[in-house]
Amino acid sequence: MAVSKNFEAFDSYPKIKICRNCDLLQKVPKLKPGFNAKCKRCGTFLTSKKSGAINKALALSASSLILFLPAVSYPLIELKLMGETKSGSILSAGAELLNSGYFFISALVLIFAVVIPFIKFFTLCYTLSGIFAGKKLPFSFLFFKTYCRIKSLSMEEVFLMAILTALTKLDSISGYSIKPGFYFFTALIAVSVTAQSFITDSEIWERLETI
Amino acid sequence: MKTPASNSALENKIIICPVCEKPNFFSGQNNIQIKCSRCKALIKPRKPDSIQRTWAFLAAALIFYIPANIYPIMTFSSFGNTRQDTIISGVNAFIESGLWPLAFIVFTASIFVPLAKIFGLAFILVSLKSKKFSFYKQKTKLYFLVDFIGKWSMLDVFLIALLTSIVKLGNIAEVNPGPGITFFALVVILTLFAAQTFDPRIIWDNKP
Repeated sequence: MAVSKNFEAFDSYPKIKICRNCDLLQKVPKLKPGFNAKCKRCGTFLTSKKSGAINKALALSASSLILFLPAVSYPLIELKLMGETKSGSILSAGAELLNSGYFFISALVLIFAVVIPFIKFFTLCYTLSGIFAGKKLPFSFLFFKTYCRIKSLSMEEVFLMAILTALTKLDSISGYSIKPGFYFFTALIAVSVTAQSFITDSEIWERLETI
Repeated sequence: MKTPASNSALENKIIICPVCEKPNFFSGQNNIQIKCSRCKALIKPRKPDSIQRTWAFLAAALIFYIPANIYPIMTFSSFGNTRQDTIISGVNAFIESGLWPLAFIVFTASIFVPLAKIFGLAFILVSLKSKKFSFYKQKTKLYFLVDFIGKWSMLDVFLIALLTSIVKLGNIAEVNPGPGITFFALVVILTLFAAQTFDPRIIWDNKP
């Protein structure tokens, strides 16, 4: 029977992989750390074997959670012009736009650069700490599901690019100085990207199931 | 043919969960909805009405792209002088002041990426059943690219939000967002939705 044969194949999961872009069912050989597997038909990235160091990923994702608050609340840039100064952080930018009546722009900044990144960092840290402790934490499946759903909508790195562009633009207007928030924000991005480089989502799912 | 169609997960009555990538067995009906055995997400064999929904979002995005380019995206005022910038004049201003790399970044993020997304997805949709343009692999790559670069067009929205909050020195210098940026943000959101609702697997389903 064809169906029971397929069930047998699933015992050897993760060797069987399905391409999410072309639906091809294919066997993936056991990978060495640092190697990627691509779909043999369309070339889409299928899976990769990373070092799987939960402790490193957890340490870095916890740091990203700690860095988050100063990164969004401390001023990023200060503008100096004719004795007057004005500085702005991500949160104050969102609040000022809201006060001036630009609800839509304010909501976009607050949702994509503050709320979604925070949910992303928090859910990843929570899930990893559960795996690290070897305990089944409540809501860990729900939280990691949320993480997988929203991570592509998280735009903190786009905001960093916007800060860098703003710096260059301000440079042509007048003098500016970089404030602590900028360093916190840069560190936050470096740390969170590194955290994700130690472990893959499918590895986290498998370890969540086996706790 | 190198890879027969029977190798697709759908024909083997398997749905891959879009959230956690777990393969799930189902009865084989096309319009069924099942619960993923691992993450409990509701999943379907293919994204529902993918073609129609993507067309709708693309059409809306293209309509909003016109006011996004006509209306100013920001106004800069200093000692009574007001300067209004549209998307294109903003890029021009960077070029005039010799900031070529920055002009390139802003051009890519605000002009090239949204248009590439709209026309890239439209091309995939139009050529779905075409035998002449049957570059399945290239179309899948194009979709991947459209999906991957999508969020970067938010750069201009964030830039103006940041400048509005920092450049606020009363009479001396002040930046305010213009109506164009709202339309532009809508274009970005709509193209993000368009890429989300499109199911790249239907490119391969039509393969003879």
